[in-house]
Amino acid sequence: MSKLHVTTTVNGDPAEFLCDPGATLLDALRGNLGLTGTKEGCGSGDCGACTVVLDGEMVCACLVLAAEAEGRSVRTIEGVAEGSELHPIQRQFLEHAGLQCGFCTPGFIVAAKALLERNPDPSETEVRYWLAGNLCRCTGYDKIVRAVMAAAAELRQDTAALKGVPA
Amino acid sequence: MPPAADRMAQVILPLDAARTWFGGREAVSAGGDTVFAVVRALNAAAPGFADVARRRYVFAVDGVLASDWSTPVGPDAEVLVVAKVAGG
Amino acid sequence: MNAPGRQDTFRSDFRVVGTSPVRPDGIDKVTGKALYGPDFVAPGMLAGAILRSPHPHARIRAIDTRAAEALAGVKAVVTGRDFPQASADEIAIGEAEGNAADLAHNCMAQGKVLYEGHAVAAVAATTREIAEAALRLIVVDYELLPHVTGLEEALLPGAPVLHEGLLTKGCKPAEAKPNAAARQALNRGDPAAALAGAAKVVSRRFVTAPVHQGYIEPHACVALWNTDGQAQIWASSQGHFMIRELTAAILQIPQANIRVTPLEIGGGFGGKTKVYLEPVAMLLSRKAGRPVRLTMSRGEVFRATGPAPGSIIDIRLGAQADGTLAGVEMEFWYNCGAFPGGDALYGVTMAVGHYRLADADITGWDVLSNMPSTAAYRAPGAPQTTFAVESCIDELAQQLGLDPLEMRLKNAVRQGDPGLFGLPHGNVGYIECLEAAKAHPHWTAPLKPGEGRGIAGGLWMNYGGPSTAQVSVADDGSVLVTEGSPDIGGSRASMAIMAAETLGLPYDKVRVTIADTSSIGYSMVTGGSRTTFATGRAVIAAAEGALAELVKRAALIWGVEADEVAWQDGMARCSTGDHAGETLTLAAIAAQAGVTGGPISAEASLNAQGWLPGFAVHICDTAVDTETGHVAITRYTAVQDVGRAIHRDYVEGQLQGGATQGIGWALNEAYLWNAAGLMDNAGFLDYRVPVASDLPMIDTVLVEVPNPHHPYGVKGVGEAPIVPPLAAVANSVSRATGVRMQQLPLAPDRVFAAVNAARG
Repeated sequence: MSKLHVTTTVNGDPAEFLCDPGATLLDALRGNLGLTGTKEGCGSGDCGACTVVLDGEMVCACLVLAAEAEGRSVRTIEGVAEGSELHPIQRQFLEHAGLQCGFCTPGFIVAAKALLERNPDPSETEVRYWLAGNLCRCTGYDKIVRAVMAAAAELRQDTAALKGVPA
Repeated sequence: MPPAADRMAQVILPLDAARTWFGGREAVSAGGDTVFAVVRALNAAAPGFADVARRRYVFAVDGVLASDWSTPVGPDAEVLVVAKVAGG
Repeated sequence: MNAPGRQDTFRSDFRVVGTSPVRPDGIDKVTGKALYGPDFVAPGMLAGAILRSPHPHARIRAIDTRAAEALAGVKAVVTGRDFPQASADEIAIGEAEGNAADLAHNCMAQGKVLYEGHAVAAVAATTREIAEAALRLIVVDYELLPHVTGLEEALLPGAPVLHEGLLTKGCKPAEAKPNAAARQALNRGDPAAALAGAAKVVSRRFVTAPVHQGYIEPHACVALWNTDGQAQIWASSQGHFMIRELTAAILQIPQANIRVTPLEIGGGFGGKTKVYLEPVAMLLSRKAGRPVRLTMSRGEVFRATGPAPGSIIDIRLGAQADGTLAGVEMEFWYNCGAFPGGDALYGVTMAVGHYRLADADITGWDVLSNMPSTAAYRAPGAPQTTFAVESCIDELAQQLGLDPLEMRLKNAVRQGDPGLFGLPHGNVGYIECLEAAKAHPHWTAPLKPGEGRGIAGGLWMNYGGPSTAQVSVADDGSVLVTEGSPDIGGSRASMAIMAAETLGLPYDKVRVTIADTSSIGYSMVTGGSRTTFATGRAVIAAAEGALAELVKRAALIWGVEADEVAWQDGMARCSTGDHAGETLTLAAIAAQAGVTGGPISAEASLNAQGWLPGFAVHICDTAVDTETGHVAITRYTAVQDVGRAIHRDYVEGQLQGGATQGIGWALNEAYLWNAAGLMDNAGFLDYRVPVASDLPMIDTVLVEVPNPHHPYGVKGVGEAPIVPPLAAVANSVSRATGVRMQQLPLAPDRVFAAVNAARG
């Protein structure tokens, strides 16, 4: 089977790889590019563990063909922190114990970032519905939702709102 | 049962052990001054019991779980045999 | 919340215990750098794939692998014949026991396939695509056999028999039934007489479906087995020592020949306390001479790994007019899947373990059927029987006109009452949990029209057992803890907290490593809610050992006796002689280690006893849409006696996560088999676990009735929170709708039908 040559941008850097026509973006990220922060939990778009952003749109990398990344821009969990500086969402996940096993965490953080870029002041209900495509089996979502709300408040630099976030 | 000893512990067995090894008796007497000795006595009455007991049961002497079988067994002590179970 | 009257007997002046610092493995886990099971890559690694049975029950007449072996890129093919012939004798597996033949047979079918998805053959090839192409070239000649997936059907005379000649454990021959693997029983008092004298008796049948643990990380491993017999395995699991001992037992090789390196684990909940892939990857590697990775798809996880048993439970529970429980008779059946071993013992033990109930006759059966062999799921066996008992108590309270919480308080076990196995209960906290629930604003908050409020209690026994830990002091005075319990929900942080507390150091002066099986002594699995209790005790004991050595070294430096040196605030303080009042920091002592006797390090291996059960009380509000049958959880509170919370946030997280899994069990989750014995919903789209929009915040109350057998009072918290939710949700729905439902899940179609049938 002949391979496709794909040239793309991952987390702002140029990247290229060879892939089978049927390979998914998830396969390419994890296999070809060694970016294993994006997780495979189901391979069918039901768990959100492989959430990445493709040209600004949140997608499940397991439902996108690797070849579709040609000429486009992919952002993954590895591109959320600015170098060694954690993104506020990442820091608030740690501060609020928003992870137990941590396997779903990259998908949640990428999804939460996409939410806050669209809606800097989401209600709890909005956070819950936005994240409804990401499964977490450990936390019962409580501390994840709190972490995202706290990150939103921090990003707004709205100290009044920060005080209002339940501990 | 082993030959009469001057110290006899009362051993309370779980139902499955009683049925499998001791003809359904849930309480038996066994001589011995440690759990090791009590198990040896039980094994003499029911050959093979010791090997299974090591894997499957923990022993409580007078209400306290024994972390090892060198735990002393006093005269007239009650030795409770408890299924070893852990969980998920 | 502290238990009144208990604190004076137990220290509570902690510096680090009970705080919520950021976990040491946190940054790696929020940046995608942590390596989980499917992430590890070994040099020269081959991709493996497993051929699985499309039939629920069939005899394998022949397997032809020649075409697969001939495919370019294929390096090894393995079938059941490559497994050593294991004896059916039970073997010790850590603190449990098992049967090596069954374990091997579950990893790969030998003679018969017993469920859809049962592994039949495996291939290792240079790429995953080639391995999968090779699977399609393997020809398996199956003789189809009648199958049975239903619990009642499996017990009928003439039912298809999974294991010919199997004897029912715990039975006289006359009581044995086809496919009954074991009978467990608890008999005390005279329940028939007690029930005859009761003011009210409810007699009900409860039914629950098999459910999956649903960890998001599929099983995965890499194995390398060299011709000199030495092997390495990299895998995520609830216990890398478990992987070592089970793989060694199945392959009949010395445990010391296998070095298992733990990768980060993406959830387990009991489901990763067994091996599925590792022995297969080992055999493939042995043939290929290269490392081999095996990874499951989600479909494979559902079809071939541990669900929790479904159940049928018949119960008669009586009470006096004042609410005092008066007699219980229960008989129940759990489906344990393709192999013996199951949860009936726990179901028997936990059913009424939280109540004073002198007259009880409880019998449980583990029943074989053509579904995957069940695995532990967070308090295995307890949620089902507790669902039945707590539902009946609620119904009795309703019939007697009593407050359901007060009725539970009236019957709750107390310290000194006979415990689960006949031992008197120690410092247990069920009463304290019920009192805390009563005092919580949730219990008395007004309900909106159409809402109902349910309450339920429950317990899990918890566990201790063997663990090893080492504490060493670097010569700059920083401290390393090395242990062998996989960190599944923040345990590195709790180990660091306990070591820091013991040594009087700040949390971040202590670093924790989970070592491979060749680098530290044995620890049992992370399961049974045992890690913070048992491995915690090992860490504390090792820290105390290091501390004693530090004191000894300080005494040498000062030229005094060790008992003239005290350890305060993380420093040695001299109490006598020329140096009286002087202090030496840990760093100052460590710097002189080379001239006071060498490295400072201590190890502790122990078999921790003295664990105490954890009790939980959950309050659940629901709103039921009678048009659709949809049940919304509108408020939820989980109260639990945790002994002592070491890391508060992660203890709360255990309660919230366990409650949520229980809510899923109650409302949505179920294995669905079709008439052909095949699973109809082997994916997260159709097997629906709770999502963020299904839930409110889960409020928690940590009741702290400390365990005197742990230096900081730990009891273990992970499992008890899944015990009450099934009944808490069902009781809430019944109070909201006026209809009692005894079958889970309370899916919309079932609720809709029940509510409309009641309306007539």
